[in-house]
Parts: sequence; C-alpha cells; structure tokens
Amino acid sequence: MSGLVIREIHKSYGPVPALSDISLNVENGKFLCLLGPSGCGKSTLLRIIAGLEASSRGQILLDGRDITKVPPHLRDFGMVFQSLALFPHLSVGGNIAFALGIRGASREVQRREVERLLDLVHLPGIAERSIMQLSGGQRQRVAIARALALKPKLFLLDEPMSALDAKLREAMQVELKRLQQELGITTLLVTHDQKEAMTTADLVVLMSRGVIQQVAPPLEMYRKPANTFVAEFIGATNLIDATSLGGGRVQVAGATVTIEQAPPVGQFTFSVRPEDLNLKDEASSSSLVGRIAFTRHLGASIEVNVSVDGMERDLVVAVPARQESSLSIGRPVHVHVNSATCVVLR
Amino acid sequence: MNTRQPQSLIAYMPILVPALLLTVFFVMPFGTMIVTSFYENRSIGAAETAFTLANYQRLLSPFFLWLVTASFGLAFGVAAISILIAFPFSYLLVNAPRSTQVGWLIFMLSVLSLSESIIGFAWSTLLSRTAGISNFFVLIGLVDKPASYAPGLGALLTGVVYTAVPYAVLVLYPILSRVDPHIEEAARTLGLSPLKTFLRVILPMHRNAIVTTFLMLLVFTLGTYLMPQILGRPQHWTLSVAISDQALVQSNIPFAAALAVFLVVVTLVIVLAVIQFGRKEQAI
Repeated sequence: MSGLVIREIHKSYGPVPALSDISLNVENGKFLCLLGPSGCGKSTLLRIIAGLEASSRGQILLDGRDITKVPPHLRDFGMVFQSLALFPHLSVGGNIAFALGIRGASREVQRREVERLLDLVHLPGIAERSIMQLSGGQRQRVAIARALALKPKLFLLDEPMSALDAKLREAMQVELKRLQQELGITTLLVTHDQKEAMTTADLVVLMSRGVIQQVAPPLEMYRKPANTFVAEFIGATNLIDATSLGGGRVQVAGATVTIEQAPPVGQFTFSVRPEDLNLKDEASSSSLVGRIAFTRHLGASIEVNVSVDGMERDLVVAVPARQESSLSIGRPVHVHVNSATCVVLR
Repeated sequence: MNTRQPQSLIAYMPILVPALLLTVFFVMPFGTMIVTSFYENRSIGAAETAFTLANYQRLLSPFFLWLVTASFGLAFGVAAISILIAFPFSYLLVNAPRSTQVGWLIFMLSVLSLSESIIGFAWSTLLSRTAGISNFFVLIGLVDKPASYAPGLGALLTGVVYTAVPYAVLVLYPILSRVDPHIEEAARTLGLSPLKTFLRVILPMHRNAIVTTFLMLLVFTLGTYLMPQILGRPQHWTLSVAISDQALVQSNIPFAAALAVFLVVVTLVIVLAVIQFGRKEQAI
C-alpha cells in the first residue's frame, strides 16, 4: 500500500507507556496534524517516524518499504525542528544545500537548487546572508527549504511555529498549507494549537496520554467529537449529563428536552457547542430555564453564561452581537436545545 | 541641592571603586615596571634612576631571541594540544549522564586546586626511571628496560597540558552545554554520521569559542615558570623562567622588568592579531 503506514507502535520509558499501540494510515499527499496537549506522545510519535527514537515494538512502512530499523537519513523525509536547528556558522545557502553537499552534488547543482528552494519559500536572493541576520519568520522558511532540499517523500514538522508571534504564526500556517498543496507532499505536523491543526490539516489525529482519541477531518472532529476529551479539547463546548426517558426524550436538571439520538435508557453525556444553543424568552418543548450569570463580548459574538438550577456548570451560549440589549445579568432565559446539533457521548 | 551631591557620588561608586582598585593594584604596578625597565642596573638589586635603552637592546641578543622563540613555541604547542584534548572531551562530557558530568567536573576543579609545584614533582616522579611508568611498560612487555622521560620536552608538555586542560574544559563546558540538541539531530536527518556531525557542524560552529580558549591557554602557558624548571631541560626554559631568574637570582630588576614588558607587548600583539584574523574570516 502506498503512503505512510504505522502499525501498532508502542513506546515506553520504564514502566510508563508513552505511546500505546498507535496505528495510522496516511495516504500520499495528505496533510496530517498530530494534535494534543503537551506530554500526549505526539512528538515522540513523530521522532519514531523520523528514526530519532526507537519504538519498543511496532512497524513503520513508507510506500510499502519497512523503515522501522532504517537510519534517519535513509528514510526519505525532511524535518523541521521546534528550535529550527539551523547551522549558525553557515549562510542561508550553505544550510539549504547542506544535504546536497554531503551527497556530492556539484556547486552548480547546489546553487540552482538553493535558488529554486528559496523561490519556493518566497525568499529569493538571500542565499549569501548569514542565519544571524534573519528574522524569525525568515529562519522558519529557510528551515523548511532545508528540509525539502532532497525532495523527500515525507515532510515532518515538530511544532515549528511555537516561537513565532500570533500574527506571523497564522500567516505561516496558511503559507505552509499552500506549499504542501503545491508540492503534494505527505506532511505530518505536530502541534498543540488546535487552530493550527484546523487551518492546515486534511486529517487531524488527536492524542492524549499516548493513545489516539480520534482521527478525523477538522470539521468532522468539531461537529462529531468521539468522546468527552475530544469535545472539550477541540473548541468550546457544553458537556451535559442527562438521563434517557425513552423515545428521544431526556431529562436534564429537572427539565425535559428532545435528543433524538439518545440511548433508549440510562444515563449519558452529550455535547453541544455554544453557537448551537439559542436563548429564547418563552419556553419550548425542548428547553432549559436559567438566569444569565455572566456575559463576555468577543467582537463578532457574545458569550453568555447561563446558570441552570441543578447543573454544576453554567451553560455557555454564543449569541450574535446584535442581541446585546436583552442580556442583563440575572435575567431569566430559556435555553433552547436543538436535537440535531447535539452529539451523544458515552 | 545639598542632598544631590552625596547622592550622585554614591551613584558613581560602582564605577569609582573598581576604577580605583584597578589604578592602585594594576595600572600603578605596571607603570612602575615600565619605568623601571628603563633604569640602569646597579648590582645587588639596586637600580639607578638613569634613563637607558640598554635593557631592551639586550633583548635582541641571540640568547634572548631563542628564549622568546622557545617560550612562544611551548605556549602554542601546549595550547594546541590542550584544545585538541579539551574540546572533544567537553563535547563528550556534555552528552554524558549527569552523574558522570559532575564527577569529571569535580576532578577538574581538584586539579586546579593543586599547586603547580606539586603537579610538577608528581609528574617528574611518574616519568622517572626508578619509580615511573616505564617500569610498568617493562612489566607488560612494551619496552626492554626502564627509561627516564623527565626532564625533557615530552615531560614538560605533559605537565603543562595537565594543568591547562582543566581551564579549557571549564571554559568550553558551559558553551557546549548550551548547544541546541536538535542541531545534531538535524545533521543526522540530513545524512551526517556522529563523527562527521562533530567535524562539520559542532567544530565549525564553535570556532570563536575555540579561538578564545586557545588564546587564554596561550597566555596561561606563557606565564608558567615552575614547570620548565622541574620538568624541562635548560633549553626549554621560558621567558618567565628568565624573568624570575633575572629578578631573584641575578638581582637585575630593570632587565627583568624589560623582559616582562616585552612579554606583555608580544602577547598583546598576538591576541590582537588573532582577533583581527577572526574578524576578517567572519566578514568573508
């Protein structure tokens, strides 16, 4: 099978497993994001794919070739490190052509390749400059160019943008995605920033404690989280405990709402995004009654916390900014729950 | 207005105190030495305040020119050998487990705490014919009969390098421990073996640190005067030995001062030349 195949990769440091039986298939040309909180094992997984760390067991195949025991430089990937790890004693061109030089490419070939790669990352004509003279964003691009110099099959990035300021980071994310689409190179990006994952990835792999929680396209992961961890990690959400009354009716904190996909009996938790809840003045067949506890303006929308008797946490509701006038604190409101937007989690 | 004056004086103290100490304990003695170097010598340690260039003219004699050559030859040799040992050693030490690092650093500090004469006599015993390592070589069948390695150039180099290496390690260790570990990984992913990573990335990356450490060792070795007397033969004696000899044995203070001034000037010229060379290299 073509692409990157990871089979039951396991890694433990002493008795603690850092990765437990990770399996993944990445089709050629896809942009995959390994997302998760720090310590979830995402960087370890990337380093195992790169061969910088050995797995305790498991197998890695790249286009059908078993690379589990192959040394890093023969695995056919380019890598960008968190610190970028550019060689400070070499010029921009020297850094980019480094791998070509080792492989005995002529000076002319090196010069042409450096020119091509610098054009690719939109930094033409700076080959002679010293690394020390570059800005953070420029260094980032040089690191990308260096990683792509050998035209690898696989492009690995380990939180490369964490050192950039927010504005530049967003611009780089868009540029990285464009570059990846232009080259059609299979790319794995490690990040803890869900926005970065949403911007760049075709497929997001959400990890926690060495286990894959969900693999899905970004929007699907947002709309249909597989479990409470995913629902809470990706975007803001309300996790609501409910008891099924059968026939799609469920009891929540003394009120009854309709959730068609609810199990026939028993207790369960469902997730509903703030923007999917509505505030109404009158009760409906599927609403909870509460009081406005707190409001927060976020520019395009207002985040309203509604405290409902019998619920531990406030419900968070996002309402369009124009409804501002009716949102005085302490005012009683009805929160309308739309069954279609709720995701039942077990 | 009254309160301002003491305030500004106190504000100047952080500069004034070091400036004063520097003047009293460094500039003045050095100035005295320069002045003395132009005095005429009147036997038994007394100097006459008559101006003369004779002390400096005497420096141009073949004997003292040889002394200068030998001193700088020894200093360059020791600095080069020490760097060759200390740089790879520090690099390995930085990558070693924490407990190993601490052990070695304590050892290095203990060596520094020993006096130069103790180290010198210890080496002269170790390299002697009667009690030295050559007996061990005989035991394992490496040589036929015990030999004496001290005094000699090899013994002298060994002794001075032994005292110089800990300085070099203690200078290089913090620099090397700050190196981003990803640099080596990046070199690996680009196709360099660990040895080539060291030679083509780590070494050139630290060119400036190596040059600085080399200069420090050079100056350090130029000042050594006990080791050449304990472990070297008279032809290995350095300018520093001659200075102490002139000052303490021959009681020719003005000539000793001239030698010292000369040593300082030549050292400064070398340091400036190396720095200038480094700058030019960087510009290219």
